[in-house]
Amino acid sequence: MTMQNNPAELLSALLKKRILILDGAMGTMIQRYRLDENDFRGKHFADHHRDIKGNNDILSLTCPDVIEEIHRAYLDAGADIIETNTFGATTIAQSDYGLADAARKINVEAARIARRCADALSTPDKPRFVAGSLGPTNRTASISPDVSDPAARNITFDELVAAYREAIEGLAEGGADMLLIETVFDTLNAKAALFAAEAFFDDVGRRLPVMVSGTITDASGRTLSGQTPEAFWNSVRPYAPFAVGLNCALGAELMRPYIEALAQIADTFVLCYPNAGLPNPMSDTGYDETPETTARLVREFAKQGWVNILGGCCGTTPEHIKAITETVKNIKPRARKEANP
Amino acid sequence: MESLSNIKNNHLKMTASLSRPLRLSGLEPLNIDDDSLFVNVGERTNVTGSKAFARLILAGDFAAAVEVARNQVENGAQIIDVNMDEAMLDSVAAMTRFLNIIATEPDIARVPVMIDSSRWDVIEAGLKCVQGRALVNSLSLKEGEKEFLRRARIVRRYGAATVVMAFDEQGQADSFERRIAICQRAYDLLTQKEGFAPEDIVFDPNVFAIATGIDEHASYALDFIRATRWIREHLPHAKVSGGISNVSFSFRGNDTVREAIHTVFLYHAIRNGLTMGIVNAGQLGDYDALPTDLRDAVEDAVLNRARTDEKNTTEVLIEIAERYRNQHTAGAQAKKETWPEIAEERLIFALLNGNVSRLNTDLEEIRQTIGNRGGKAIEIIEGPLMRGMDIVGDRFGEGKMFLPQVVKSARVMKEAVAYLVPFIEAEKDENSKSNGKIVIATVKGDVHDIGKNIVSVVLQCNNYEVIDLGVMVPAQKIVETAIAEKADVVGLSGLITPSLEEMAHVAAEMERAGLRCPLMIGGATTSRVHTAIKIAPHYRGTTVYVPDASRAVNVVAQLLSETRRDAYAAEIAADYRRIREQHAQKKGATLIPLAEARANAFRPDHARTPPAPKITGRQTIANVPLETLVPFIDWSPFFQAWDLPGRYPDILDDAAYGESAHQIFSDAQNLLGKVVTKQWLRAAAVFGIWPAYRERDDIVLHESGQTLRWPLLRQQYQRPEGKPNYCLSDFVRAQNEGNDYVGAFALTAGLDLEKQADVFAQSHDDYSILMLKALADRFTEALAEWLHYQVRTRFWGYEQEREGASIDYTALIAEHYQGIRPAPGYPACPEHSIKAALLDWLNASEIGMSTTESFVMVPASSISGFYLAHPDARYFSVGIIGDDQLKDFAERNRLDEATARRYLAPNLS
Repeated sequence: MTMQNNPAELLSALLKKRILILDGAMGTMIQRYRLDENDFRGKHFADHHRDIKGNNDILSLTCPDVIEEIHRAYLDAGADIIETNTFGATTIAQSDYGLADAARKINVEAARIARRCADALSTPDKPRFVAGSLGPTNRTASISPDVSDPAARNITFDELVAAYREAIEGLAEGGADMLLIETVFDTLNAKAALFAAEAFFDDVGRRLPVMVSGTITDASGRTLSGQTPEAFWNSVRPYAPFAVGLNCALGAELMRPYIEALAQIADTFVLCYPNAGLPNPMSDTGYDETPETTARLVREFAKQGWVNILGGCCGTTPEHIKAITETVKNIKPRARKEANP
Repeated sequence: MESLSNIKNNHLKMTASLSRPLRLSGLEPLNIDDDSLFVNVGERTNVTGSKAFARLILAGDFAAAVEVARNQVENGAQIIDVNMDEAMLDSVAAMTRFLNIIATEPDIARVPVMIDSSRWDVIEAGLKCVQGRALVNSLSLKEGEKEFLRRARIVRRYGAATVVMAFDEQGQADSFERRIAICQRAYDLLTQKEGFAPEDIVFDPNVFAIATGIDEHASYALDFIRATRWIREHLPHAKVSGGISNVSFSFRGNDTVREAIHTVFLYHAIRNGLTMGIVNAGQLGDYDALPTDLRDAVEDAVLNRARTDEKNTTEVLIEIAERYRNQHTAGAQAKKETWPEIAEERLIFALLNGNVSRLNTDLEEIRQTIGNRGGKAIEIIEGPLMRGMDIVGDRFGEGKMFLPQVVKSARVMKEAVAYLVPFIEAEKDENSKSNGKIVIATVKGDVHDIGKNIVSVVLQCNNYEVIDLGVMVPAQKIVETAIAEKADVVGLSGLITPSLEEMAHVAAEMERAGLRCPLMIGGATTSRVHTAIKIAPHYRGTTVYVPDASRAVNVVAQLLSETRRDAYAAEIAADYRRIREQHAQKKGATLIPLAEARANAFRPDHARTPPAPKITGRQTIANVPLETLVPFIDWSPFFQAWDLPGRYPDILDDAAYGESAHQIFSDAQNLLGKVVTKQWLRAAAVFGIWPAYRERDDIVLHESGQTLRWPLLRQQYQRPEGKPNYCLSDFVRAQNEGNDYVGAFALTAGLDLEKQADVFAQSHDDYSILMLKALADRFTEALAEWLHYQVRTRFWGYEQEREGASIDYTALIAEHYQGIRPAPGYPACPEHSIKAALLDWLNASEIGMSTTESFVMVPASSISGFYLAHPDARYFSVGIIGDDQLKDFAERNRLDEATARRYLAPNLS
């Protein structure tokens, strides 16, 4: 059973009834497999001219079993929505590995793998969805890389649009139900992704729900490029995203005031998938919080009526997702503010 | 008083029950709804409206052009209008460059931008540069419905809102009727055909000049005001804007009158629903403060009122205008910044606010003041500028500043340094341009470089030469570059967790290559604890964690400071050692079975085992002349014993502790002289080298059927891949691996101490007693170092003996030699009970040494231990052990388990 026909309607109906669960970290799980350079290369890239260990996105081509196993673990833990393993699968991020040409294929295959897993576990009571992940890339369109020239940029808006367009086409082809523009640390990058998505939808005559998730990177309560949460919301609201939220940096405890602020102003669904606390290189997952701690913190967000979709980012595992699923299952979801009263 | 900025328009009859805000943003949001006050759009960054700005842009002076934008915002502009429509200009390039620059100026970028051009390609170029929500100025029906809707679609795709000009295929609307007809048509097209949100439409019903002398122009202002009201009442949620300065165009050159016209025009337009206006934000007047005659004349012209005296309104205005020429009346005063009084504080203010406007003047002032008292320009960097950067670091850490502001501060720093460099150069004896060379890289497997780039920028701003190797850099390349470039510091960055392991690998490779320069570690997932435990142990050079970019300069400055370097390195080493010890004691260190730990033992290259000793068997030296020991004294622990933190000799120059250190040291030297000449202390040693072998984890010494068995402990916690689980016995051969030797020693320089201490006690001279004991400890340590040297060079003979002057005492004190002398109680052999058997074996009672029941040696200043000579022999910490090793140890020691548990308590979790 696939959900592709009208995911937005189906999701909206479900979101009226309960909080939906997004999966947890992909990178943290991949690390547990302790894959080496040869695993990353697989047969496809055995003779590739550069080392590609650490290029998690390529694993959808070279170690699909690993990715499938991770998706399944999250679905078993209760995730309603799983994210494709495509966080860095743009031509821009892949070019650092000399693999820009593989970007489109990575997106197609990653979406297919996730689609397979979601379909296998979907039931009428608990349909599962695939969100195509679009990461920020490793370049920022708003920050100068050159100290003596504040006007310099190492990426242009047009280059970002082209890269995102290719990724989006791949994700749609592979069967993603929705798009998730995530870990937004420079809103101009996110706007390029939204621009590409809008153009794609216009061209194919079909829309996918789009979720946008920003990242507050430091104690100032702003994105890396300096926007406050409301300024960020004002920038992305014109695209009428299906959901808006925050993920990654800080962890739930420190994210609290910003998710509250966003929940107050956003006239759309709100999602939140924090890291398992702050980075702690001495712990197994690389992060501080146990599943119980993360679940306790996000449960509070749910009880306050701030969120519609909850999940985990860096350092979270199927155990975290299971704990979150259990702890919020009877809590009423946030009532979505109507856009135009 | 009703000033323009607080006139509300909410008395208007709105057709919609609730207003929908127009949501714009820069770094901060700007929401404009019916409750909002009039919104100022700054007009000065417009080449068509400001000759001064046009000159700057045409001359390519973007730095000055940016100041124009800053002034606008400081004077209250809530949006800035940017226009680059000038025939002599590459407008697309100028728009892009200007918007990119102001994006990096947080106090400008906080407000939204109005991207203003009559050229569509320029507007689109601008939209590609702004992360916030912008306003396009403007769309119109000039080129027909199709093009209008096409562009509207693209505006939406860029997430922007738009101004729509009252302009159609027939031209610009100049009557009330044409204005409202075009606006109605545009509104319907946008909302019905394109799905444009009505609150995102801002109409500009054309502000034209009045009082031109042409009769048809007399109603322009009034028609604009009427159209504004009509739009607000008939086109739900739509907003209204206008280019206000146009209205007074006839009075060019008479700013007083122009301001009066703007003030009056706005007063009425706002009351009739004008949402925003493009104005000179610094020059908005106060309606009530205008001279009555001027205000009345202007009001007649603006509202096109017939005068009671039937005079022509324009003529009256022109007449009055002449009287007011160039008398500044109303203009709002430019907001004065509160610059501090003192120049040094102004520098800090400039850094914190990213403001360079007074930088050079202030720097020059301070430089001259410093110069007059014989100081140097470099003091400005080391003093106020570094202090300012420290505050920046603190504020960033507290969340009071955000990243673009920090980068801005770094740029101010760069400008300041650039200004000072020629003076610093001139004052220097030798010519060293850069403060040091730093090789920086994101490690292999990681492509994240934003943090690294920021560190690189900040360091360059502080006059360091940065060699940035980019991302995914293999260890080999980092090491090679560090060697080839003679790097002063290597910096590693990474974001993802696997990078942590790679950093440890790079550290190990640097060690293997023999590098010794400091290593900096940074990146979101790194930490001080991780650096101390997982990275620093791989590398002998100073390894230091840098929490964020703002701290990098301070860390590098200390690492490379000629005066601070050693003390800083020692502080870090001590701090990290403490972290490692704490961590080792923490519960939950993953233990592996003893058998597994043994299987992962260290296996030295037995080919490198030192040759048989020249002299074996027991030796006694009953009285070592104290003067031979003096050069072997390591004074650093002496100061630590007096709670003076720091290394000798740096501590003597320390700002905080130097004076006390000097006092203590001079007292010590005084007493030392007497101790040596009057022989208040006596130094003696027993030692020897015996055939020995490894058996399980024991070291066994033997001589004519007698044996001394030393049961040792092995590291049992999970070690990183490729790292062995050490035990001291690993450095000795097993019986089947060939002959090997181990030395043992017991020594003291505390003999006869009590005699002199009693003398001091009689005169209640407690200070001298403490000093004497401290010296006894120093002499004992020196004796251990001296004896180890004798053993290595004369008795074992694997090290070349040197004559007096050629001995490098500093190297000896720093333990730069082959072989170790672990003493029971060290982290590598934490168990003390062997001391009794060891002193027995050495017959140490002959020189007056013994142990108590709890294995404390008498006299107090005593050391006993072993000599291990293999070149790979090293100190380490055993850390936590498991119950299996506890039982094994008890068995090897022939102890019951309870006793063994008591002995090993600190190593049990």
